Amino acid sequence: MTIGIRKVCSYLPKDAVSNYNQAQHLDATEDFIRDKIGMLHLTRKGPSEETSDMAMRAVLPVFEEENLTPEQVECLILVTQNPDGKGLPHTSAILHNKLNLPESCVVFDLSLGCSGFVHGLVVVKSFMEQLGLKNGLLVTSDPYSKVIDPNDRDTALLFGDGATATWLSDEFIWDIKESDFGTVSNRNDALRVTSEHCLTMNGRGVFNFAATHIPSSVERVLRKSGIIIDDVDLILLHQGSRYIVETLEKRIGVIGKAPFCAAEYGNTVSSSIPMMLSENVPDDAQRLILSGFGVGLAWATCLLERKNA
Amino acid sequence: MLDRENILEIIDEVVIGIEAASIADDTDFKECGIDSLDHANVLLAIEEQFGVNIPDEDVDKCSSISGIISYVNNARTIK
Repeated sequence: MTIGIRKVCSYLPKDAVSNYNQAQHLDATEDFIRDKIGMLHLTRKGPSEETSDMAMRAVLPVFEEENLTPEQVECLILVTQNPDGKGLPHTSAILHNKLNLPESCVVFDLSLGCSGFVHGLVVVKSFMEQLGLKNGLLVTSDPYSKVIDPNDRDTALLFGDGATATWLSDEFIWDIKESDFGTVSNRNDALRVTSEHCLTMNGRGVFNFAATHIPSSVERVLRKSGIIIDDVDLILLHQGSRYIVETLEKRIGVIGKAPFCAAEYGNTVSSSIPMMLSENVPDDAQRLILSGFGVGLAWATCLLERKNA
Repeated sequence: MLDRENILEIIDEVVIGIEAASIADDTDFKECGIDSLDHANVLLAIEEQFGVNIPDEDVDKCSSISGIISYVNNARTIK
């Protein structure tokens, strides 16, 4: 039995901050925001909206729009590093309760950031195939608004809140093929939350990591798959910023194939790739490369192939 | 040895919208429109092409063409 992606749904809160407004007190020009950062608005969850609430709002459309009931869900894995409360109990257990999932449904959290969705795809696929499960949900919900210092120029212009839910099933549209993972742990302090509960980022450190490690990761996936970059229709890169996406486009050699889609909502961490999978992939695309990179510093790249009837 | 031409070539390749040849050796990059992201990208290309490591604490020493030349050529001499 093979497990693949059947459906992806997403949730974005209605509230947002304007980066042009933030620019005024963060010593940033409008040109810099539009052309380099790329994010014009950053979505923000409501003050009482929890990580599990956002996750639930991404999952419910899967039930409402597709032929899937809560009773059929056999596993749910939640990617987050900003849990409800202190993270104990795990947020996926709280979500399990909110969704009224059956006791037999196994849930756990996956603590990863921007590489979390691609890690999660392979983890959940492997888990489901090992156990013979037919319907599972991979959910991403990581609201960085919980840890952003609005006066920190390095981080305040980047991150938006959002959540996604991916239905993995034995009847699927996208086959999850070859993958490549890694961690550069001696730079793990380049992205961390301090004891004051604020995110700090060494922008140069994260940029250098992505620029030097992602092109070779993509190359390894292509080689393992026996294909070349021209055989791929789209590269869905983590939407860290317009600048990193464009830099990677050049370094991978795929100008025009790696869209930047996050202008109106921001870097939604592990939700950034599935959000594009849900909204920005044309019906005739046959092969996609997904590559997430960030916290850890970790990366995860995989190939998706459309399963044609 | 790294020279001005090497750096101009990298700036032209990496930075959009700047005419590298018009940048004087001692002009700080911020003054000619090379922002922090482009600066990081230029330094990464220098590190990769000339086999040097420029730690974060030395980035300010490499904020002009002359600064990069001096830093990189010193680092390579010490090696």
